[in-house]
Amino acid sequence: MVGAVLLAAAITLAPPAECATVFANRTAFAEECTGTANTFPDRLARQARTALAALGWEVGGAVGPAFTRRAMVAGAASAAFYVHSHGDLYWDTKSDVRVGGFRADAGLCLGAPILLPSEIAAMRRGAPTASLVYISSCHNGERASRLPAAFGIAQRKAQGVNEPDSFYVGYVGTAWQGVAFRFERAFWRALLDGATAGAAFDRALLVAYDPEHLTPEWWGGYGHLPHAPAAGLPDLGGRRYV
Amino acid sequence: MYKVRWSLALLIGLVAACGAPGTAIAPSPAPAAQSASLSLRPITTIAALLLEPFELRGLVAQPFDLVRSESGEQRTLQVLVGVGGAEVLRVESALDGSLRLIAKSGVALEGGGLSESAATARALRHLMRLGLDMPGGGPTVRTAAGRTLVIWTREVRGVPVRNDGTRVVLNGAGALVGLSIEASPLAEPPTRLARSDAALRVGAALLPSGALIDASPELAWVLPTEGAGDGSGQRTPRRLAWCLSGVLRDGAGFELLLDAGSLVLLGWDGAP
Repeated sequence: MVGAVLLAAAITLAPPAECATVFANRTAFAEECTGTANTFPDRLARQARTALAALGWEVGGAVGPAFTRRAMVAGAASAAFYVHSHGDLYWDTKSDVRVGGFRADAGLCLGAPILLPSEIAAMRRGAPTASLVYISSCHNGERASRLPAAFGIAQRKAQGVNEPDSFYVGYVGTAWQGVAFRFERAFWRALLDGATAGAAFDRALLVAYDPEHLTPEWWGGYGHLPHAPAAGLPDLGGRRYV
Repeated sequence: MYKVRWSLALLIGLVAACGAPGTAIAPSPAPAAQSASLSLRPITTIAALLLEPFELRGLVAQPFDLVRSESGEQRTLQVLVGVGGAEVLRVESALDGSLRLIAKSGVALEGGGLSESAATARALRHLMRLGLDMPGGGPTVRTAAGRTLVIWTREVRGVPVRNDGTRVVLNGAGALVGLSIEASPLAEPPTRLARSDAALRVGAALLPSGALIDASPELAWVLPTEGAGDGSGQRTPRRLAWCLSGVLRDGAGFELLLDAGSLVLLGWDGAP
């Protein structure tokens, strides 16, 4: 029943292929929940929105309590997707294995709804493979996470031959927010310089971030340029980077 | 082979200088850029050291530019592009000419992987080949997404400068993906260092209920306001700080940074 409702909603609300969605969980990291003021979710979401807009995407989504399961239904089918939230290898009772996923905000310190890969796959049914997916959370860069598959992206790295037009970034193990902020800023900046997704990832590895607190991972096509299809390449003064 | 590479470098340099006015080799009208160009190592000579002869064919140097780095430092940027305008090599230098960043694009995703000692040896070999200073001490070696990171953290009077130092990124076969060298300005150290137990007391008083400091305080040079401030374009001098790490009541890790003299909160970070 729930699946049918989600599917129907996804069909009704599916965004066009030019859309990007940016979600960030603010509440779970807010002072009233952790005792410490934390501006990272807003800043991470802002830099993702800015970069995706500059790459030609129409950016929607939500930061804070408006990031709910319902909002996720509307945004999951986007061609470009970014989320910053708590993530883990959550248990999927349907398949009886740990599968990855992340929490919505929903205005809750604890117990916010978990979005599982199987639910996201259902929300995306009929949508083409995502162009760019950035899961800024713990654990969803691990092999055990099924989130890449939920967005239609295989967990393999391709370069040169048979490259898919898609790119997925996630983090292995625990990801610290401040360190992720530095890495993501460098990744977006390189994309805006015209680098391909793989080259942007390589360049972000060169940024001075603490590898004890962040282990980034990617899958997809190294040479993929994740700009909106109708937008074309950003104006690079005649240059294009690989 | 060496002579061939130098000849090719010279050839590329000449082609770039003649064919594209205002390239990395030609001086720019901007005064800062003009002074920077005087001591700049041409990207063509670096390319000759890093790329195979067949990879050098058809490369063109783009006009050099002044940019601000991720760490907020003003740098000269040189880019070599190949057929179709695809970036092949990027080099950033400080305004005094010191090499700060080399990034190669499209380095093969080799499998396999390197042992720590092999990765360190490869990284040192790349640094030596480029004529760069050999960093002191033992590096940290980590892997991420099939790349190996060899990191020498800069130390000043035995105290690490967080996120500063030399970082070399290699592919699984040991080929260079890129390297970066960070040397941030440091603030004056406090005239009197607070004791670590005093730092623990102040840190404990700042924590929310249920949170716990679970390690001894450690001294480090850090970027202030990393946790709460803007954190971008930061050429802010690093401050000497006591770093206190622990866990919040939900089990998430955190770190507090307190000024090593006044014990004022400089910043913090944590895991979601």
